[in-house]
Amino acid sequence: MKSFDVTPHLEPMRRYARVLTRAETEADDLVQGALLKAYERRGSFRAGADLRVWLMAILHNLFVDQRRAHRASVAREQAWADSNPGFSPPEGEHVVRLEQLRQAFLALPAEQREALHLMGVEGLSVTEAATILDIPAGTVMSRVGRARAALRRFEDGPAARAVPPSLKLVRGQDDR
Amino acid sequence: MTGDPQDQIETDIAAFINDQLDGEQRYAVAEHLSRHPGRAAEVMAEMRLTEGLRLAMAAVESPPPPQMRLAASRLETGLAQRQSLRRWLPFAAAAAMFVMGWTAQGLYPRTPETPSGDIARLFETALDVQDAVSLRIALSNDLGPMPKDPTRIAARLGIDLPRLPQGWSIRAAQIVATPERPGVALVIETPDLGEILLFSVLRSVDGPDMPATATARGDGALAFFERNRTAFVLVDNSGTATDLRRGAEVLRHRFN
Repeated sequence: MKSFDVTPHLEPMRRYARVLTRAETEADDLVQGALLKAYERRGSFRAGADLRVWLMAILHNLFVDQRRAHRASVAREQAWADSNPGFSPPEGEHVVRLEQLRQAFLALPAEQREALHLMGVEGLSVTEAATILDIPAGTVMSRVGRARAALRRFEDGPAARAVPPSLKLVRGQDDR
Repeated sequence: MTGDPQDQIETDIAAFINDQLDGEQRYAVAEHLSRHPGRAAEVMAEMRLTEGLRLAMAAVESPPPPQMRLAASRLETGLAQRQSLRRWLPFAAAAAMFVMGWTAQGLYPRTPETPSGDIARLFETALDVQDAVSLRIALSNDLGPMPKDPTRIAARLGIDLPRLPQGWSIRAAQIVATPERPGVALVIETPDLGEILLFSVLRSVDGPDMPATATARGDGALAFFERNRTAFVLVDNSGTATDLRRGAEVLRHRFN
């Protein structure tokens, strides 16, 4: 048995990277870069710490660093709202609704999206999410609350309705 | 957590929605919601939302690319090596003491612990220092360049640093925290050893000077000597213990 099993954390890392970047190729590049960073900083991993939280924090920090460096990049001005950044398509009778829900989620402001993903989708505690995002737990809760409120308004809308125009953003500098 | 009961129940409800409570806590939240049907309906809507998100974003469509699996495997190996190194340090330090031919009693009257334990602690601190300095260098773009002249830092800390041999140059100098007191770390470029780290810290109690000793660690080595109440540890990530001990011995003879 391996002392440190990183492979099971690849899927959560790739999911979170897709939520951060909303672009499939960019997301996997981000995960690749995070694994490299983690290797370089392996000495900072303390015995008994949560490997998933440590990896996700490195992934998040790398994304923040890269975004700061490429904020003005023309490539990042691409429209994204109708694309699927590499998630498996939902199945079953609720497929349309779930597709719409995902798009509505991806259209949320970045800080709300990140917090809700970590707690809602990945099932992390507020303390773990706060560690990854490097913000106070109370801020995580308020961001999750705002994200949930926005999505509830979407959920309460007509099933056949497409993503609300107000949520259909074009990715750019004002995204955060 | 906050002391406000309302804040606490909302925190518990958030954990309830994320399925993070044990049985008793879940019962307490369910009991609370049974008395607040309006809030219960909201919570059910939030649970529907959470389950919907989990379904919508359950899986990534493509498998991890081979280079990603490779990077994960390399990281697993690196973390395991680091862990085994930390477990092994006390034995390495004991071996170093044995090589020096010293007995456990008498050499280190300064602390009740064994001398090998003392060196092991210094080695471990030096590795932590190396991590911190590496991170600081990586952040130079954000935090600004690092100083290269340690004279004032060393003087302030009461540390007498050796004069560097010809061809050795300081790439970065940094004050570092240790469990006992601040020390100074120098990243040094050398013609023979490549880049090494010299970590120096003033001892809290007088002890004898010690000649250089070194031990291998993974692909690199650690070396130690002590002079004038100051402990010196050299860290080399890619050299032999013999070469590093030789370098440490050179430094040991370059004090004013």
